[in-house]
Amino acid sequence: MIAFALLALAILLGCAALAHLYGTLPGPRWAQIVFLSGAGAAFGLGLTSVIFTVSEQVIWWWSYPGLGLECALLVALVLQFWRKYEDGMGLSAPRASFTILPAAALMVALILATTAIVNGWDSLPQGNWDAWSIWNLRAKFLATPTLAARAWSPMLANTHPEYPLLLSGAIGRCWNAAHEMPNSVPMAIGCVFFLSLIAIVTGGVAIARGATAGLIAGLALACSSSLVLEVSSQYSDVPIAAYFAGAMILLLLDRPIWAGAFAAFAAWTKDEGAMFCAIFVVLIAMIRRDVILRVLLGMLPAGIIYAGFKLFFAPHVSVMFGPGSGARFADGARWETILGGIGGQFLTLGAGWIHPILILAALAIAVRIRLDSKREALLPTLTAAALLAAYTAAMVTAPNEAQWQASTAAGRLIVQWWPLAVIAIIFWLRPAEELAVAAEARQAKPREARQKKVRR
Amino acid sequence: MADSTPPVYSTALKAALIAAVFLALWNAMETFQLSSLDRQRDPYMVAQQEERFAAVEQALPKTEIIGYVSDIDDGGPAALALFNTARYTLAPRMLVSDDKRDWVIGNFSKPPDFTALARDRNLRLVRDFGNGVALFRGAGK
Repeated sequence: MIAFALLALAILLGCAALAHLYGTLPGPRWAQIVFLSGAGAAFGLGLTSVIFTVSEQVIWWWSYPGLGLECALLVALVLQFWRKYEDGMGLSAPRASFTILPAAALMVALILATTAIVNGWDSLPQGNWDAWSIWNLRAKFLATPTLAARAWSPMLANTHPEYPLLLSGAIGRCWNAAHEMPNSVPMAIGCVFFLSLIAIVTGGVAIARGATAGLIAGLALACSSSLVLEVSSQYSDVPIAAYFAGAMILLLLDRPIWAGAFAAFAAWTKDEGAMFCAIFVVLIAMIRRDVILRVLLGMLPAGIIYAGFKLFFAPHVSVMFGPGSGARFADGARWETILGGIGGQFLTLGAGWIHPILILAALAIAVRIRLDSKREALLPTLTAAALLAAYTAAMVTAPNEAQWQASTAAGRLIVQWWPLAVIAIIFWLRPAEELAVAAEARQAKPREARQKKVRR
Repeated sequence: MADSTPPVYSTALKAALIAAVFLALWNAMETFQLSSLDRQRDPYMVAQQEERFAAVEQALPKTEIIGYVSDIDDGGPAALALFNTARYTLAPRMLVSDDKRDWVIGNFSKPPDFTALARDRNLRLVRDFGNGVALFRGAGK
């Protein structure tokens, strides 16, 4: 019970932090609420995980000293939001249509997805291999304040003690407060990250590209088989996917500091997040140079913690590029195996013969490609393309057996990458609402002409 | 989008939305069915380790770094699964794969000859907890 109260506190804190954006975003009010709730939950879990892990190191003799700071922050943020709301802020949000059919379908898809996740918990109550050998194991060490340093002990050499600690910290924080370690905590946190990912993409795309596009993007993710089934594994791939999507959407909504914060949380979740940060920064420097400093500013707090951990705490037990990397890179057979694996894992996003990309294709056929504004679509497209290329190169050069990489790692990387790809595809399409307005205008013209004729 | 009246969708757009919704719900149903397949519950038997190690866990302080010996120690997937599930169950105690510690846990797939094993590895059997779990003391402790 206490563990879930702490989880609720993390979500509330994140939502309160992002709540001040409510009313300042352009889209429909429901989309703002959905987006800010999803982004808030992910932000809150990241922020409290950082507060917990850092405060535990600084004041190690006291069981969770950061709790007081979290409560004070929550009170301050709620009071600030309340004052703004009373001043009339947030009431100015524009009204827009709620597309009832895809909205109802998204609700049904989410119910089916969460039931599938519950079924997964039933067969994997402690999660899959990496959950109990890496993420939840390290959460157990973090939950015991005086033994937290064991989470990055070289004694864990075969289970990646050098990996970042956001997910383990989020679980360890709840276990620490509860003074017990129930499986329900990592289960719930995994589910919150999944729902947060769907909310970020649905709400965020709805704000930027209209309600229909948002709901279709959410549907494409909520019914992606391997993404849904990955949640019960209790791995960090769904959390990192939520941070990738959050960073991209926030940048596209012109909130660069927040985008930077989400990108840095992705790095603090898993090393692929650092790769994402590098790609993100380079592409922003090329395409959106005006916001680069603010993105870097947002990255700073969690980025410093990530860099500090890697430089001063994490043991150097595994190297991505070492002896033999060049030879592996030049090995055509490895490329063939890895590319085949990536292709195969991309197909498993669909269950049976329907792939979720067909859902986006159905919308694309009706609304067509948007030709007037390619600039917005360029950033998510190049980020998704560069990330996939970087993942492929990393798998080809990694010392592990290519077949193993193709059958295990490739699937997880596709899960991380897919939401970004959905955002990129949607941003190339015309908003359905624009089309509807055009249709209305076409219908109105002959009507006006007839009225003029009658008047004459 | 900022209009207060709901937009009017063309027939083509309505058809596209219906197709997208149909495809999505079909896929969601298929995913749900995949998750309901009669899969092996807890394939690495992590939950079972909690029962096996419950008694030995009580005997060891949380701060301890504990050695580990097993009859499956070839470094293969079974050995790794056995070691990692034991390590997860006993955490925050730190389990390390050697027998040079004050306390050493034995995790066996079948009951071994404890006397011979203790002699070979320079250990002293403290207690056989049954079910393939034993606690040893490092020699001279």
